[in-house]
Amino acid sequence: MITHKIRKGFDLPLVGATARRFEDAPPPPVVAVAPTEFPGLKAKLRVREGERVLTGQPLFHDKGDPGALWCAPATGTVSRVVLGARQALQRVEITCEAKDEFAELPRIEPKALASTPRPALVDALRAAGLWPLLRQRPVGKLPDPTRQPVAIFLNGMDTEPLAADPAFAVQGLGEDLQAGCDLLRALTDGPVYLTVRPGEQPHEYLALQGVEMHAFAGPHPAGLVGTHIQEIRPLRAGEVAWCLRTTDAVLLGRWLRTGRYPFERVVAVAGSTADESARRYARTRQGALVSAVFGRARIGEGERVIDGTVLSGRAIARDGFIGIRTTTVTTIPEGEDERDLLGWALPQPRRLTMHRAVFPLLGRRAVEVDARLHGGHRPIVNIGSWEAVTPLDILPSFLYRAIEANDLDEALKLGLLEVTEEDVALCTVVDPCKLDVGKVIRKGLDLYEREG
Amino acid sequence: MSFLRNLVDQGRRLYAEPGSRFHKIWPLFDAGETFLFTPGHTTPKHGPHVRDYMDLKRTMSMVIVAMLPCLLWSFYNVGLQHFAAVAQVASRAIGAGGSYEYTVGWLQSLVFGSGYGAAIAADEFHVGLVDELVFGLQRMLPLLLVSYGVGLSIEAAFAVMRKEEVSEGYLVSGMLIALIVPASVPLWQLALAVAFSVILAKEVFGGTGMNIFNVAMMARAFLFFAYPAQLSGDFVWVAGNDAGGAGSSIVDGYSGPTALAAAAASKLQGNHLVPDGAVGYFQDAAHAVQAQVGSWWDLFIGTVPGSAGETSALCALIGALILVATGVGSWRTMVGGVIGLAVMAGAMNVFFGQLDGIGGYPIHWHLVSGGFAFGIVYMATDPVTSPQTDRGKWIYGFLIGLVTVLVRCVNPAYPEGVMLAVLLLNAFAPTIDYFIVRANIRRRVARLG
Repeated sequence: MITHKIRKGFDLPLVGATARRFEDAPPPPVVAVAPTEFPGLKAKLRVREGERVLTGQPLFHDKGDPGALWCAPATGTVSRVVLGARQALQRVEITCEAKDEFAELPRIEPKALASTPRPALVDALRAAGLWPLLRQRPVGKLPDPTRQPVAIFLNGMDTEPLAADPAFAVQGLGEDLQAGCDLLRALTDGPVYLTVRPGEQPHEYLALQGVEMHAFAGPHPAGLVGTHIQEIRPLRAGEVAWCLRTTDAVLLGRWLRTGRYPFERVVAVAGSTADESARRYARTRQGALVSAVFGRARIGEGERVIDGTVLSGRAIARDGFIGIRTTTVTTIPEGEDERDLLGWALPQPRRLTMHRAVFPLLGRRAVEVDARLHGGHRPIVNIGSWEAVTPLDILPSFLYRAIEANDLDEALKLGLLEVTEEDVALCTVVDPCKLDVGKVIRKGLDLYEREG
Repeated sequence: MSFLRNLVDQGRRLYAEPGSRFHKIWPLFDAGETFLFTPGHTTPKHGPHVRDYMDLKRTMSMVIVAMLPCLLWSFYNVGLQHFAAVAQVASRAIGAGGSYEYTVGWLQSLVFGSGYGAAIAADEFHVGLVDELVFGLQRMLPLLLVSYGVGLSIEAAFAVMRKEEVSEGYLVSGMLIALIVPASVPLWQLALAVAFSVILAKEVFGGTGMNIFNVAMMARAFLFFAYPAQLSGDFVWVAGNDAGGAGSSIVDGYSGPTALAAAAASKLQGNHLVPDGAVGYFQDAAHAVQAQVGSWWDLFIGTVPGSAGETSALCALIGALILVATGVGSWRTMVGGVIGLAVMAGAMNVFFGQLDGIGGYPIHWHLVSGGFAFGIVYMATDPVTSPQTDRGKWIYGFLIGLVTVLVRCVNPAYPEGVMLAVLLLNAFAPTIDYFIVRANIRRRVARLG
């Protein structure tokens, strides 16, 4: 095993960590699948309101790519189809029945993996509704099925603040994980890299066959696949890699072994406003009503519920639903009415910051943080904050400017394809001028997809 | 606090909504509101949901905190230099059989009464700390008032025109400008310089964050080239009291050269047929400065004539420590500058050390003379006009130090070089970055093919 040391970065010291225990969450009365979770997806509905659906039955597909399906995570009645502006599908809600009946899915025999042609494997994955678990680099969207990945990055760690630890979440799921890895091996000629935290590994990781293990030490973004790719196997022009997490590979493996749609999810509940009883690894269902994931605990008013982490998640309503790839749900105070008197001038020992100008002590305790910007938008005044949290060999402020100037050529030369919004999330967090770096990066990637 | 909060919340109704009474000038209210309370905006629903507590207000206020030692020093030193000059001129006049009348300024008559001039004349101009501070404040407060008043009004007007929040950048520039001009400068000239630099060096480019040249340095350069009589020579560095005229406020008849001017004018004994110790001839440039201006320690501490706030290398050093400790100023630029200065001054010593003038001025004297310390700490580290890359900052600082000494030693017209060096390198900062960026691209090509 090779250990890579990441020096630049920042671990957000937040209170509200998840206790390392599993608990079965109550079954959700309603589940939902939302195409809005996938930017750029134009969904074409395949069911009608009031129709009964089985677990694993296709709900919608992408108009641009009809082969990839999104499937029902539960058996029940389609109780609501929510449409947004210009009739765009927002989500499909299903009122669950007590018992699951499974729709027929394409099946691959685990023993026949090696002899199945690769396009058949891909088609099966796409038809079984498992394609949304994968991401492709560059760009960070769903993989293009016609392209061959030069490697598959299987992420077994997560350094985002308060994120679920995949190494804990896969406990007891070694067989599924191995089956998933076998499937990944069959999908590429290149290697499958497993990236982990240094130190003691769960036996599920140690026992894995057919993967190359790399450890990443250091602060966030040491756990991001963008960092892993740059350190292990940078992508040349025209090359693509696929990536997913070990928790996703478990789901692929379960489908391979059982032939059923893997609706089960393990979700860590975290955050300063989440009740202590809720802060555990909840066993629940894909797309579950978020209040069901919290169990007995209530979600209070004035809380921001985040499907994911505070860095890369999306805010959902208190009666919203978790996503397809969700492993963490975080709640923090919204903080709208909080306004600090002379907040910019006084030392702030209990605030989230990596700047010594805010509070000059080196060692910091974990702090409670809310969703405020703590300042007004300003043009770029660069005091080196972005560079201090970017271990990649890119110049974030120049990349930002090139994209803002719509200079795609320059942006590509500056490494646009090495990043997605999650790789620059820390830049956004620490920026004194409150710029949204990730949004600009996505704008650049959209430009690349249109013109590149 | 809740009283203030209610006031702010009520006030917001007057301007926040489009169509409300004062909506057209909302940036002015917003500036006041966000000065009192942090803004209440929250993060968007997608992307990072939390933000660092650091904002531009704090960034800029840290620079102001770092400048406070220099500002306080200017209050003291402007008075110190003034009374030293007055005492000298008076004793010369009285020695020649004449008399000397002291003109009392506005703050002095406010604090000490109208008989103040006669009182200190009777005391043979032996004055204490209070007298010096009162005089210093009397000169510096109008400078600050004019600089901030004119500059912030223009900024606010542009913010209203652009419908943007008022940016904090000028809070730093305004104090910088007051500190880098001679305290004797006429206020109307200062006002003109501020208006020139805020409009033509900053707002035409788009405001804070978009300017190419350091705003404060542009104000000084404007004064330097438009009104050279008030900004160069040996007569302007010690402030006097206005006698009601429109000219600059100097102590009539007093010549107080800066260290660099004295060094540049020094004649070395070895180069002339004069006996050792002949008046006006010195062993080397440092001795010339020591005899006419002050010792190295005087220069380091700052008890010498010069621009209001930049005489003290010690205060600049304290400021540098604050800037580096808070992470707001780039230590790379500062260290690079000192190295550049040392390299160039060393080379000058080697090649021109035996000639008259500043060629043989030692490195450690260069470091504490003129505005170098102030310039490299507060002006060169401006995050907007300096390079954006770490390596670029090294090069940029180094070249500023180098060009500073080059101008000081080689240019016959300007004894001080840091202003021109910073402005020149401002112009080259994007070029320096360009090469660093190309290097990054070449590395990427080598890595990925």
